[in-house]
Amino acid sequence: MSVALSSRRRSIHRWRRRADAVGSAVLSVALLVWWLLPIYNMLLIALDPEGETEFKGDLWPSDPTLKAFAGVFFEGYWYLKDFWLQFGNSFFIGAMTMVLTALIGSLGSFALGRMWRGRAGVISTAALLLYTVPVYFLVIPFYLLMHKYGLNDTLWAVIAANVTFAVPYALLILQWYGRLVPLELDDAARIDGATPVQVYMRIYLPLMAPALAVIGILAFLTAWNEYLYQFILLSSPGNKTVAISLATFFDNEYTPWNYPAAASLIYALPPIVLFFAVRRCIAAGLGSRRFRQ
Amino acid sequence: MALMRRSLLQGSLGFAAGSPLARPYIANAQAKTMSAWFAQGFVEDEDIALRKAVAGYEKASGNKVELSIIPFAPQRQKIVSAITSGVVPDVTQNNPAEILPLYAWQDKWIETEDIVETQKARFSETALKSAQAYNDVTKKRAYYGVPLRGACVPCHTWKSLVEKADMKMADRPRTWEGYFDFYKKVQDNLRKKGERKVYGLGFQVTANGVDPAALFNAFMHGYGGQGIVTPEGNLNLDARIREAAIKAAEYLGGAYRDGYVPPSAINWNDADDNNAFHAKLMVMDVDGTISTEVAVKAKHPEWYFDEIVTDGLLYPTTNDGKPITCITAMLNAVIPKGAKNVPVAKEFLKFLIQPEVLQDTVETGLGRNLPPMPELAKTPFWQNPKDPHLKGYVQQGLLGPTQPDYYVFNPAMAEVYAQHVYSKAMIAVAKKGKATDAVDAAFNEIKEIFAKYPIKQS
Repeated sequence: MSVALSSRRRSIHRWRRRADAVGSAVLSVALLVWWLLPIYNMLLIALDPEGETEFKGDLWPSDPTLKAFAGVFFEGYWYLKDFWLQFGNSFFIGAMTMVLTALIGSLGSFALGRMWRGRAGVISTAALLLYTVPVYFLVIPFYLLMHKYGLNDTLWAVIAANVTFAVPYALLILQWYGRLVPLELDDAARIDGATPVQVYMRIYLPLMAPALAVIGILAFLTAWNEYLYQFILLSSPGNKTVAISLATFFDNEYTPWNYPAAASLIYALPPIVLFFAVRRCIAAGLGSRRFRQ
Repeated sequence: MALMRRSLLQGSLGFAAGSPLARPYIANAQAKTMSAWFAQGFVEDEDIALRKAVAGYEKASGNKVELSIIPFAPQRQKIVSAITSGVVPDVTQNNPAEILPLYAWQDKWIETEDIVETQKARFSETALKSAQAYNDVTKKRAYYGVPLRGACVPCHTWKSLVEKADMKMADRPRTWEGYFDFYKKVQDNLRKKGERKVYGLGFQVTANGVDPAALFNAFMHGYGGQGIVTPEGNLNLDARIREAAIKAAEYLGGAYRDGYVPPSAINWNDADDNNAFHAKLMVMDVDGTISTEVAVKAKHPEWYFDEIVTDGLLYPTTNDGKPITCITAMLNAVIPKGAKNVPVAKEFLKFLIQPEVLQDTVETGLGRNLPPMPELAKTPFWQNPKDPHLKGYVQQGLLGPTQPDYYVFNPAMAEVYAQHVYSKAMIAVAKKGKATDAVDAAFNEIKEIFAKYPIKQS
């Protein structure tokens, strides 16, 4: 009787595990489809010879062509004439925003969290107040400020704006993450004669690498997808970015949508490459060999 | 280490000392360089023509124009940011058109009479009036714009849908109400034939964008209610205007209420009626410019040449058969106060408004933009007998009776549009309210707005 009961329980348990696995798989696939559907749709439009946006029920275009991708690569369409120059500008803005946000954020969190521990939370929370003002309303003050600094119509003006908006969040995350790094490590280093700069460079930065990678990617993505400040602060044709260029397509009823779709897919590559490049660094976490040492 | 620091300092000093010697050429060039923000064309040829004009000016003058071509819709944000902050380009456009009188009121433009004067005899009267505005600081009206191109509001019809309803385009009455009633009959016939999704009238009974105000103005004029603002800038809400407004609100809101307008129209934005028209959701649309037609020319030439009819030349008359004065909105070039290189900006604009230069920049727009000079309407481009739309459109918006929009006379009207006062009246009727009540409420709101913009009469 008890053997039969036990066998039945095992059977129920097996079924439950299978149902859980199937449920998880279905949910995962549904989420994946949900997330990837817009990108898939964009690919369909990019491959369509006319850039038709209407979905006619075909899972693959009947007459796919790489014409739009070639148009982007060789700057063949009139809105994409300076695509690679604009791509370079976007990348420069993204990269510098990433580096400066990580640098300022890590220095700030180090100073607030490791050196001046008293009211550090108040300062980092106060910085977050920036997010209570809609960025839209800060664009004119920023425009004026950048003019006063002589930075108007330069890529540095956009970088400055991006970094301003990215740093408070970076500070918050890095400060919280920094609490996982034992303060005893700093104290031990200081006893061994390490200066604050050495503590920052040799202990703090390496152990904060996962959080810095996350912050860096977020800052890069923010800069990469930002449009308003780029549009308002940049005017010269040589300073324009892909975000500004892609927006021009929306102002035209003639737009063959395969070109912006192809340009957007190409434009999406750097963040993906960047994410995979730093993924290992993020996964390493505090359990890394370096931390244990 | 010390050596490195010293050499770095020496290098920096050397660079700093050398900079002034290296800069005079740039500084000299900057003295003759001006910046211009222009709206991007709807086709590549428009941008090419603009660049060609700029290159022509640069070659003729030796000056340099830093031309920034910006998409039309977002250009507004950039201009408003620039004027608000005071960090301005040397030349830009009044986009949105209302900013010319609004910022002139605040004394934020440079006067342009000396530029306009060079071609004054050639410009249409409407173009000249549209370039002027009242300045509340100097208490006088002056030229602040330089006319570049215009646009008016024609009617667009799917001939194929009219014929599908077993009716003929030639049978359309020419008087105002009869003309629009015809499309109600088209819808009724289409319903009888089982066509459930096509509506007769594409009225923008919505509180979004600029289309509803243009539509309401067209109906005011159609009902003989021209002149809600006098050329001197005074508000005129007399019995004739009130009656026209009541009829306009009743017809437009009533058509929606009675199911002759697509239900989605209540939420339309500026481009939505174009899209709905192209999707054949309605038989006709009243919408500014012939972009509705031009947009499909490349992809569906059969639509452009055979199926869509523009009523510009055959624009309906008032109910008692009088021709209607059409409102032609003008796009002007403006020089903001604070511009660094006003003399070069003025010289550039004088070059730009030469007839041959204007013709090139306007005609490359495929007819979307009207020229500001009547002589430019007589070119083979506009008079092309093979084109079914251009001749009528230029007749309606330039050669026929026209007038500027009312915000030109008083910027209060720009606020009336922005507050969607007309839309509220139309929507009130659409929701089964009384047109008289809706118009009285609208007129009270208009009076309050105009009280903020008193114009001193000289």
